[in-house]
Amino acid sequence: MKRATAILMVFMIFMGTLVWGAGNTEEGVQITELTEPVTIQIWYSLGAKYSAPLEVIIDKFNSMQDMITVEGVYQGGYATTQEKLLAAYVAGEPPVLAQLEQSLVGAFVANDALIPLDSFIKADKEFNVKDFNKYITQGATYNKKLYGLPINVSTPVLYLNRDLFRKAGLDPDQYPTTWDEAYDIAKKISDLGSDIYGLRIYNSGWIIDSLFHQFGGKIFNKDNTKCLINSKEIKDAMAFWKKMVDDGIAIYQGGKDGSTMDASGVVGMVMRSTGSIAWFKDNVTFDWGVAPFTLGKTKAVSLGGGNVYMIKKTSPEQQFAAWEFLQYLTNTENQVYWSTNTGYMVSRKSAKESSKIQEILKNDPRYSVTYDQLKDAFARPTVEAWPEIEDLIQEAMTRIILEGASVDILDQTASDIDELL
Amino acid sequence: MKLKKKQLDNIQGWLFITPPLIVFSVFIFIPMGVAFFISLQKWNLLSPMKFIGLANYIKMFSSDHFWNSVMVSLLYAAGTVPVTVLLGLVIAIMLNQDLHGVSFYRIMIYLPVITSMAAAAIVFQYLFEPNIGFFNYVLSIFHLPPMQWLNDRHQALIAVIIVGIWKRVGYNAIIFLAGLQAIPRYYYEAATIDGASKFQMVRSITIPLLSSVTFFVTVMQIIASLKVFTSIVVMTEGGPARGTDVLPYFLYKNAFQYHKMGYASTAAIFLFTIIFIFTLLQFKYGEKRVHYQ
Amino acid sequence: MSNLKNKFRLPSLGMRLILEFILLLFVIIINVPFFWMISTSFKFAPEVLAYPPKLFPSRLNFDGYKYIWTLVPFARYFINTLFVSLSIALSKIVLASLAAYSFAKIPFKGKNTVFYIFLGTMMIPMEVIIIPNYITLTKIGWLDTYWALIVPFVVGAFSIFLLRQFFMQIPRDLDDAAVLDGCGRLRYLFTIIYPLSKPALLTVGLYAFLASWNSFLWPLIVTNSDKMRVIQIALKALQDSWMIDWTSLTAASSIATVPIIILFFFVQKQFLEGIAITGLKG
Repeated sequence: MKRATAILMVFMIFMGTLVWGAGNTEEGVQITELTEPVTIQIWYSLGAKYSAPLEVIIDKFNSMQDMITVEGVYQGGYATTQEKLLAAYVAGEPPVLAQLEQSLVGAFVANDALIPLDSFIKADKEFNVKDFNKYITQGATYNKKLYGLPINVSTPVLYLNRDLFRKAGLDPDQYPTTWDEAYDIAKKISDLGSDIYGLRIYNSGWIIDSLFHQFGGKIFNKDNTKCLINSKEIKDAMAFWKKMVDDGIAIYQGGKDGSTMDASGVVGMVMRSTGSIAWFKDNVTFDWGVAPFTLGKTKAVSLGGGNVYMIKKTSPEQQFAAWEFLQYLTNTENQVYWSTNTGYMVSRKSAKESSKIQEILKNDPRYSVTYDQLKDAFARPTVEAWPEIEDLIQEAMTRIILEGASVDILDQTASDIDELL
Repeated sequence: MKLKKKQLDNIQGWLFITPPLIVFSVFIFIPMGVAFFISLQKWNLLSPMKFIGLANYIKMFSSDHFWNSVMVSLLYAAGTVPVTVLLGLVIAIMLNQDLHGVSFYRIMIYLPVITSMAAAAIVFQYLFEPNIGFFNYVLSIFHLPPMQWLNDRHQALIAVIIVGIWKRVGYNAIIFLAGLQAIPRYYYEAATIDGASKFQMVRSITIPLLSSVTFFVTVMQIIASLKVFTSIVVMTEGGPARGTDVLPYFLYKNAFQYHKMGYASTAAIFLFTIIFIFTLLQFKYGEKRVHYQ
Repeated sequence: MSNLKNKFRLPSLGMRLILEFILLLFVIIINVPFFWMISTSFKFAPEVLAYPPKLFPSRLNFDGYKYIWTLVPFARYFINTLFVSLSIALSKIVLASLAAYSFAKIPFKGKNTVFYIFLGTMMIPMEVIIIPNYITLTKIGWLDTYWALIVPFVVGAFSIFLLRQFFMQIPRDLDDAAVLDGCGRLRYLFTIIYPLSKPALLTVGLYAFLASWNSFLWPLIVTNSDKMRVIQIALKALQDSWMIDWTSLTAASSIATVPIIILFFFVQKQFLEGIAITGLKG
């Protein structure tokens, strides 16, 4: 037994020193061409039918040349991909490209795990970064450097169940422009039945961010050092939504996913990513429309979705290959292809001006709503402890709206969050 | 030079147990020690560790979220243990009758046990859907109002408890059945001759002789309930509002989502202690009761 | 076990019918999720979302299964899971029987102490040591490899315990006879004990296979990439999307479950009796 203990202690000390030695990585030299074939991976969080267009683009790239092979790997949702990426990065074997949701890059930015793309852009004479819509790329820019290129960036839009509008005697083309109007419309719809609701709200991070902004509040102060969710504006906002839920006008679900509810036809209005357009087309049988989500005194919608970032601890060859693929993925033609198949936005001006996109926007104006509200889009905060902070905010919101807790619990939440910052 | 038998015995004996010895040391014993070690650190995986002594423990024991998890785990155990044990016993008694097709029932009742929890949780999530789910439909048939299930903090716990019961009741039933069938017939025959009624026989023969099996089943069920994880991850992610944030999930979340490795290890040590106590109970008192027979 | 069957002779036919009915009802209730799992996997989206819920799909939809096998490389996951589980099962049979034989038949110094230490491993839940193991695997470069999935489970205390119980029941006369014949220990184990212990070995193998097939937490933590993914984790990844597609989700669940259930039907007698033994011995 004594010997075992001794071995144990030695091992523990050994482990400790190993871990202490976990140092930083060397930055690879940028190369200008490949001498041998290389295989790289891109990790993404697009599930269901959304992965198909991406895989098609990957296949096209692979068959176009034979030096670079790209493997697309679906990891799960945004949070899972971030977890897995962190694990792989710590283990020293990350993929060189990963699609990360904008609010989840905090840990990587704070610990210098991403590669800024500026040097690649500079070296690439053909790549025109100015073609990208700056409202969209602001979501991948930190400390004035561009770290990622957009792939499925979106803004939340308001999905309307036009059938329910008509049933309630409302004009389905008259969408709300203020929260008071939303309240009235929702009330009329929810009067149709006890299991019909005028509005569905939920506490997904980026939606909360939009909601808070629209009521004049913000989650953090300018340099992300203080949490401001206990401001009067946000407390009033919470009270407003609670009233809507209490009156049976809106439904707030504490659970994981409300997609099923949205598609089942009992909700009059719901704010969701513009990317859900494709999913709605597949799953929804009622007549539906899309309206801007710029309600509130402050017209604001959060930027959501993901950008593709380049990860450190990878070889120069991988990074070179990654850049080649990245610019292919985001070139005009592929952006058009991607957008037409998913409903997500294109981020290049040239793509938006293309005939295909223009035709779609003309034929189905639902796609254009997100572009129209881009000027009101803001980038999400990039804070390392965001997963935990989001949980705290979500919990507070659920407790206030569903369990009758006072809005003043936000004071406690704010101070808890301050500790994390 | 021929080895003496005793030496050969020692060499061979140890040789044969070397593979498990190595595996257990590397993957169980040493990690236990390392877990203690990490619990004294502050570490987010990306930067080096920082020694902070007992700070994690102090923080944890004064944390509302931690005690919430303890409470949730206790409630989950309270909801699953009595029901699965009793239900398992009742089913075993029924299976032990001279009935048609008992082996069929045995198999069908055991199916949930061998099913993957992830797959089952997905299906249950569908069945628990408030608007289109089967369970609310059943409630409506009985003129009961629909429940929110996974969307409500309290009802979500009930939902995962239901899943937990569904998953393990078959296992308990099979073990109880074996226990019942191990009771020698002549006890009952002798009692019948003495004129004892069915209930008296159950009370003075079945129950005492089942006591060790019951003890075993209960402790195993308690330990399993304390370890529940997969159904939480798939169905609720600890929510809503931490309503189903059981200790294993609390641990996982802090380690792999919040990247607070040290803090999570502290929770791990706590969880280990609780489970260890129950396992110890099982080993000490379980054995004793068997000898009583 | 059969000759110890201890059944009450019920007086009335009525009582028996009632009990049968209750058991049947219970069996139906407990199998409701399976029914819905398979039924939903063949439905088109509108029927999946219909209320009141439709029992059967009116038209069969194979898109869910098509999607799972083509776009999601479920075949790969299936093979991964099969490979890992088989490896673990076989390895446990061999290594556990070696150790069990040693504990049961070989007198060696410190035997009892080591045995209790081995039993002690059953007291340590995986959740507790998952973080350190994750770090170990990272440091030795085994993260996201088959090694990480298999090696920690090549032998387990439960298997050793089970087989030891069984081996101890083999009469000493047989041992002594073998020793007299000059039969080496290993040969004795493989040529004589193994054939005698088929039920126990099979139970250990089945149990190990099943536990590995259904294991979730460990593969979740130690694998990241698609190549190494096992079925259970693939299920979680599919379900993780923010736009749920019940048809393909239940199709995936079906593929993960049905083969195991079919396997179970073939081995159930063996398996259930093996499980029962563990309960009796405590």
